[in-house]
Parts: sequence; C-alpha cells; structure tokens
Amino acid sequence: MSNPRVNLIPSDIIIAERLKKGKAAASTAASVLAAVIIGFITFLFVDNSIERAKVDKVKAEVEAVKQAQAEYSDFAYYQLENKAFENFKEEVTADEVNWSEFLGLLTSSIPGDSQIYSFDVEVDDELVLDEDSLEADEELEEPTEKEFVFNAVISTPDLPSLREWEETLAGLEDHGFNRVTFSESVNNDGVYHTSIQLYFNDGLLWKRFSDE
Amino acid sequence: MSRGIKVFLAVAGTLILLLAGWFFVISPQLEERDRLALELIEEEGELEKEELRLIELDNLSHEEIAGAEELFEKLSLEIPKKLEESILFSDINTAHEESGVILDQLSIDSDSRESVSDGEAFMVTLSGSGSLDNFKSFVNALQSMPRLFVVDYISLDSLSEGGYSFIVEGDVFVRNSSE
Repeated sequence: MSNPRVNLIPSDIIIAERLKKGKAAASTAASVLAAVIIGFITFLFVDNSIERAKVDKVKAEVEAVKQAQAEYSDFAYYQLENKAFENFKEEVTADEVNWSEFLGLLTSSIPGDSQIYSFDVEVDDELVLDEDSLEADEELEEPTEKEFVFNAVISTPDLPSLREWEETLAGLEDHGFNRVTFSESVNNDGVYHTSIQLYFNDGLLWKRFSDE
Repeated sequence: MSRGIKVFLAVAGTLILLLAGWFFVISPQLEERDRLALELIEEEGELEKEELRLIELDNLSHEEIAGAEELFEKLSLEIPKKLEESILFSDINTAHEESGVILDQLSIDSDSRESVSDGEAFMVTLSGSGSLDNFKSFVNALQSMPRLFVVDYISLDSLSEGGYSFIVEGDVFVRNSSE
C-alpha cells in the first residue's frame, strides 16, 4: 500500500507553469509551420528559376540549330516553293482530262464504220447529282457526285446499231464511263448522224499531278 | 484582453497570412512552375524537330540540292510570275507545227484574268483545222508544253472537204511569289 502524496505547490503557480508550456509549444509549432512554408516557397522560387534556365538553354539551342540550318536556306526556299508549286498545279488541274488519250479511246470504242462528226465538251459543265436523281435513275449502278457530259454527233453510213455502240462504249468503264444516251438519228445525204451524250464520273479525270 | 480573444486573433491572423501567402505567392509560383514545365516540353520538341531537320539537311547530297534548284526552275517555267506572252506563243507555235494542224487563230485575253489559289488564270483560245489524229497530237502537245496549259473546252466539227475545224479553250497561269 503506497503512502498518500500531496502536491503542496499553489494552484496558480501550476496554471502559470502550464500556460508557459502551452505558449512554448504553440510558438514551436508556429516556428515549424513558418519554416515549412518559407522552405516550400524558397523551393518553388529556386525550382522555377532552374526550370526557367533550362527553358532559356533549350531556346538558345533551338536558335543555334536554326542558325546552322541557315547554310541551307536556298535549298529550304526551293523546297518550300516547289511544294507550293505542286499544290498549285494539283489544284488548277483538278478537273483536267487527258484529251488526246480520251479522244483516242472514244474513236476506238465506236463501231468501225462510224466517225466523229462533231464533238463538244466543257469540263466545267459537270452535273452535280442529288440524291433524288440518283434514286430515280436505277441504271446508274455506282452513282457519283459529279458527272461530266460530252455531246458528240457520230456519223455512220448505215442505220446505227445502238446496242452495239452501248456494248463498245461500256469498255470505257475503267475511265469513268457511266452511261450513254442517244438523242436522234437522222439520215442526211446518205449519212446517219446520231447525237449521243456520254456521261463520265471522276474516273475520267487525269490527276496527272496528284501523286507527285 | 482576455486569453480567448488573444487565441482567436492569433488563429485568425495566421489563417489570413496563410491565405494571402497562398494566393499571392504560392499559387502564382505553382502556375509558373506548370507553365515552365509545358514550355520546356514544347521547346524540347521544337529542338528535336529542328535537329532532325538539320541532320536531314546535312545528309543531303549536292545532287539533291541541285535537283531542288532545277525543279524550281522547271516549275517557274510552267507557272511563271508574269504572263510572258511571247514565250507562250512560241510554245504554242511549236506544238501546232509538230502536230500538223493549221492554226487560224490564237488569242489570249490578258484582261480576262481569274483568281485561282495564290495566282491567276488567263484564258487562251485557239482555233484551226486538221485531221482527228493531228488534232489529238495538237492537244497532246498543248498539254505537254513547258508552260502549264489546262484545256477546259474543246469543240470539233467535221468539214465538208474532210478533216475537222476545232476550237480549244484553256488556261495558263501566273503564280504570285511568296517572296
């Protein structure tokens, strides 16, 4: 059994001592917090200045590499201009047709005893087909957005066989040929003149600069 | 002043100080840190791109450099900076002489210019006569001239004496230089 113990220190001294300890703890905590905050802020400033120096260094390196490239400035100019030229050519020839090849194909695709009487085409006069006309035309198996229409008059010594023409013209499918319509066949001084309209899609276009 | 008020003022003062520190010092520095990190990535990417370009240029042979210059000269003939009618007419005359067609009319309307891309187009009209084969050769020659010539209209009509009369319309171009 332990002996009874009595604290003889006056209570106001004990309270004062506790307050003193509390103040000391609070000021220590505040000091630590302040040190942490100041340390963090210092770290941020130092780190940012290091990063800024890195950025400046890389910028200087980029500038140095560009200076080194200046030796090839003529080549870079030609390369840039050539690219611009190629783009220009591709754009202005977008609707171009290889006419000599096309006329060769056309003359070899019409029956042997016939010849072109007249021929007329303007490439800008393409038809832009809308959905309704596409749906209405069941013969158009693979409709396209654009169609180029060629008007020609073919002369033949005899009444032309339209079925034979259709069959031979079908050989132009690889060149965008879609269909043909025959307008009239008139006997004129012993020669039959038949107006035909040939319809081609984009497959007809030359695109001679598109792959360059 | 009571102890409670003192504690309250100390806590409130500390909070205000912390908030002010966050908004006026720490937050801007954190934003700057993010911005710098992003800028560094961008600059490093730029450096890599430029270094690769330099390596590419360093590896170029003299032939490639000369080739680019030759191509530029060829393209400058195809699409010059000016209309240069005399050179164009000379090219067309060569084409018609080689093909065998008879050229009746050759005209270029220097006022009928149309803006295209970064240049202008001028319409050229040609009319004449010849056989179908001659006409095909003529069109082929026109489309193979040193000067770029884009045919956009042709018309053929058979003549009573044989052969065809023809009309060809097309465009020649001048390009605005980037200089």
